[in-house]
Amino acid sequence: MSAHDDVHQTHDQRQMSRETPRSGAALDHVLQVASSLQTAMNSVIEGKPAAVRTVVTALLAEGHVLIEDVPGVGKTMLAKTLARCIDASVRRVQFTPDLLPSDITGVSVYNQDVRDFEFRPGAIFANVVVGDEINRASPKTQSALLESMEEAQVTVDGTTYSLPRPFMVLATQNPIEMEGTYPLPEAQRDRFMARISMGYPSARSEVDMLDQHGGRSPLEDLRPVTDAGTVTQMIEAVRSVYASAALKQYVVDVTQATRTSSALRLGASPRASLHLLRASRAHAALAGRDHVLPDDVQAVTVPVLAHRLMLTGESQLAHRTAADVLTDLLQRVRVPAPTR
Amino acid sequence: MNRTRPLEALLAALATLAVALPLLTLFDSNTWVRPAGLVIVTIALVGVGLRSLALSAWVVILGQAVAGFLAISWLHGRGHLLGGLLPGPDSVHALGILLGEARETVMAFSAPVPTERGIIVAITILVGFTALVVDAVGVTLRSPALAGLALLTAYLVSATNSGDGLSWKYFILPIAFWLALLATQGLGVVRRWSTTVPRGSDGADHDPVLGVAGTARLLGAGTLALAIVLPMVVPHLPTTFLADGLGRADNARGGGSITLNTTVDLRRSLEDQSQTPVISYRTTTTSPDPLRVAILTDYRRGEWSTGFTAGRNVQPDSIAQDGDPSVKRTPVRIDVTENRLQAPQIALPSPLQNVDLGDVPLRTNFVGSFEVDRNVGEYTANYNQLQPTTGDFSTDGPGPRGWDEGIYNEIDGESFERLQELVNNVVPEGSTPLETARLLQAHFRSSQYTYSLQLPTPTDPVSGRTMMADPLSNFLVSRTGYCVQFASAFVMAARIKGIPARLAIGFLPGTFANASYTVRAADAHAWPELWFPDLGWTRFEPTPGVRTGGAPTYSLIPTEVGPTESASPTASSSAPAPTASERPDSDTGSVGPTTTSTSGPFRWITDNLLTLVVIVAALLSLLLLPVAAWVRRRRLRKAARDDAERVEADWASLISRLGDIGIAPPDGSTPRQAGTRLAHDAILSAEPKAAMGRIVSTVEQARYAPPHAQIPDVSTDTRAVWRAALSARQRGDRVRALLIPADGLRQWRDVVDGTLAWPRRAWSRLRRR
Repeated sequence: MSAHDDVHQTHDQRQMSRETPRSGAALDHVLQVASSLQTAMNSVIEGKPAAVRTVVTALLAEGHVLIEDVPGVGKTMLAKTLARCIDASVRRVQFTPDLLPSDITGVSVYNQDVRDFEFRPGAIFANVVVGDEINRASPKTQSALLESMEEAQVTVDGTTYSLPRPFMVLATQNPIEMEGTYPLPEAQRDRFMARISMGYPSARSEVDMLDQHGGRSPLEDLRPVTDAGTVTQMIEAVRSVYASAALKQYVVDVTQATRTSSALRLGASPRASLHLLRASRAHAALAGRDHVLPDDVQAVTVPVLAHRLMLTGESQLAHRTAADVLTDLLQRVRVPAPTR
Repeated sequence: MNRTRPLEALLAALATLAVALPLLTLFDSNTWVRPAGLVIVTIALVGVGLRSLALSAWVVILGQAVAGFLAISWLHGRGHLLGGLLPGPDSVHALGILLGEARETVMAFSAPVPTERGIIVAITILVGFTALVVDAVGVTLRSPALAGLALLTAYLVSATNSGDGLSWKYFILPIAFWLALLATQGLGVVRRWSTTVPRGSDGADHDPVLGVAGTARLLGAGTLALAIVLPMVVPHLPTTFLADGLGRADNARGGGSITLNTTVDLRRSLEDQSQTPVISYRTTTTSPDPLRVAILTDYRRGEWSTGFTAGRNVQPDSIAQDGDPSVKRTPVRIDVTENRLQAPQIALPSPLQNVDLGDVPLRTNFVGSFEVDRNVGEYTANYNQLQPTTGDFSTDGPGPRGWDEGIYNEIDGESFERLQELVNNVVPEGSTPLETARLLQAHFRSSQYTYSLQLPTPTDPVSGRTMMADPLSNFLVSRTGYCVQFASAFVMAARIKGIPARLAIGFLPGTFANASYTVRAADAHAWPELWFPDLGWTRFEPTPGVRTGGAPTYSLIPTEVGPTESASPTASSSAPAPTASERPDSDTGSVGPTTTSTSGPFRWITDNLLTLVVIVAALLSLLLLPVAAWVRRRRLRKAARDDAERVEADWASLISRLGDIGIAPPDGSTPRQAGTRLAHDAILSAEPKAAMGRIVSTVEQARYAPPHAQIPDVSTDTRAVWRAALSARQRGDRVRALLIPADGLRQWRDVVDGTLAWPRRAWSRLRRR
């Protein structure tokens, strides 16, 4: 059974689950598990509840996350913490210039015993893949990862292998280190649902961190709070969150506003609209609601859209960031009332 | 941009010329048009020339002024120029003399004024000045709207002095030129704006400004048409003031003072019926008599005048009485509470017994009329109402003072024959003076005469041509006139029969309201007084109609001897004259006291009907928007097909109403953000804040929750929030929000759009064809 059919099946399940009264109970479960997941992660990542929340939102929305920041602020730690909190298969790939695509996807090797080629899965075959310093690998290797991210499958020598569910890539990259890096092209950045900047911790959080992390890695104390099966159920529950016609209109209005904005050279793609709605659903579920509000859309717009946009020269000269432009747009785009 | 602006200069010159044209109605020839036109052209051309040199605006204006002055000097004072070219002190002096002449002429004549040389100079200077101001403001300084003020001022000079209104043709020309000037400059300004729309971008190769220009022209033409058409449709109303007869302070002096013209001209129509109050008084009688201001004895060429000045001081507390004190009389007292009659005139009843003017001295003259030195605001007078019997009208006794000098028996020569004929027809030979007076009065009050403030153009009954006879003859032929004509004819007829007679002018008793009488300028009246030795000067009332009321009882013919040719005086006094143009409510005199007092409030209402209608209409119009807003909210709520739409309607109306008090959510806000913001801005307390929370969550449910969710009714909560928000505002905001709701404006716009939808569709269909 192909992954394509799989998607369709889950779609049908979603249709059914909406009618079942269990949807409320499933959402309660989502809320419960997600909050314990966030609590566990927050105990390791000091003072960054927003980043943690975004990561969990992306997890529930089946999205991949790009963590972009200067070295040493805990990018990798965040990725590893999430991986540790879920009792699932986790692979960590350190991207280097000499990393080959087959290291990611896997390779067919000749097995003398069975006299046939045998597929050796690569690093991508895991529930959570932590791609460290993704911009250090060559574009060829990057695209091998990114294509499997989009389709949740790997094709090697004509055979298609489905990736396990849930599947999430947490990639980190360093924005200021230019020497020996291959920055991700726009088209590839588009595949990440959200980008997070960690930012420096507050002085107090940093002191706390010194206190607690002085001895050994806090990761070692961390126990998984959930497993892959539960996460899959949660993702199903999140898909059942209701989005009204007016809300979908709002999502489209927001993405279209990025396309017509004079401050932007490149606006958000239709895939961005999809990601935005999915992330909004997850955000609503995390708030314990069975329907999406425009407030959910606004809350996730900046992490979901900012990394896909390209600023015009004028905006760059004015030292505006994509997040600034998006905040402006959100203040202007009208929230549509239901049409008659 | 062209600095010369020749088109604008041309339009400004044309507008000035057009605004000067109505002066044609004020002067008897048009010889001034050519010099005035030349000066206008000179100023326009000099302006164009100087502007092309890119000089400062003030230099241009100075140059134009100098050129205008030179042109006027050359046109009118060529003999006084220095070296035949430049004006010097001599020419200024000459111009000054001419202007002095013009001033004399204008003071001496009413329109149309003869066009003398001085008049031409004055018009040329005035027109030139107007042209200079219009060109300077409208073209050089580029504020054509302001130039309209200068044009309006010049136009008003003609409009206010021409007596009648000006013809609309005089109005439309200057306005059209001025609007054209405005449009030309405005378009020039608009054309200089940069536009991002390239020419012909919408397929058609046309100037985008032209669309604006077309609209502007349409608006201008529409305004012009309205200005012409509206006055035709709206009925002409008499000049009244909003506060007429309403709460007027007792000592209000706002209306200024009034002087009665003591030179009574029989040729003038009495069109102006000013409603300005002159005197207010209380009296002890139920049928007060007219108040006399002056006595006129001398009639010459259509004009009455008095030849006597009042020099002799009298004791106000005991005034000499004419006649026999044994005649039956009733003392009457009047208290004047408000008097605006300008000194030296003073309105007093007759025969006057005494008067209290405070410390103001009272003076009298040879014929017995009174004057004061200063204005008297309040005074009290006592007089006698005589109730003479027929026997009291005997002619045995002394004649009046001045009888021997012949001041009471001069007869107008021009109308003598007609008067003689009238007297012969009406008064049989051998009638006593009383019978004569009664018969004459009955004749004038009969239906053969028409009361009208408009004097007819005298025409010869045979040839139909305009007949320029003396005014008294005109009256006797046309039998149409007002009190002055009736009283004059009566006086002359009485004099023919040898009875001493004179004309008294003053005021009718006025309108009764709120226990006091109010005399207005329109109550001015003239009546004849005849001398009877036992009675003194006795009033008769030959003027027919409701206006003058009934004639004094003694002047009526006893019914058994009533002549058949005239209607019974009693009947004629109660029946309104056929063409009396007065309002019936100015009827005074014969109306009984009870009627007057009971009809007081009703009369007040009819007096002020127009004012009341305006006030009621204004009050009702205040309700236009609130009612429309209410209708709209109700309609939207009723149009809702389910709970969700009803909540949506409630939310929309709440947002709109909060907008009325200046609280609006930001543009891109979600319901939740809007609710928080509104609650903060409206300074809601805990309870309405909670209500706002419920409203917001209900709106979210209605908009975003899965279908078939439970949606409660929020109308109670919206009302609570609205009331709380309103009560936190200042009173001005509250009143504004209640009277001018945005929902009301929207509703009216919808109504107008709906009404215009059909014609618009028809128009677009027509255009497509």
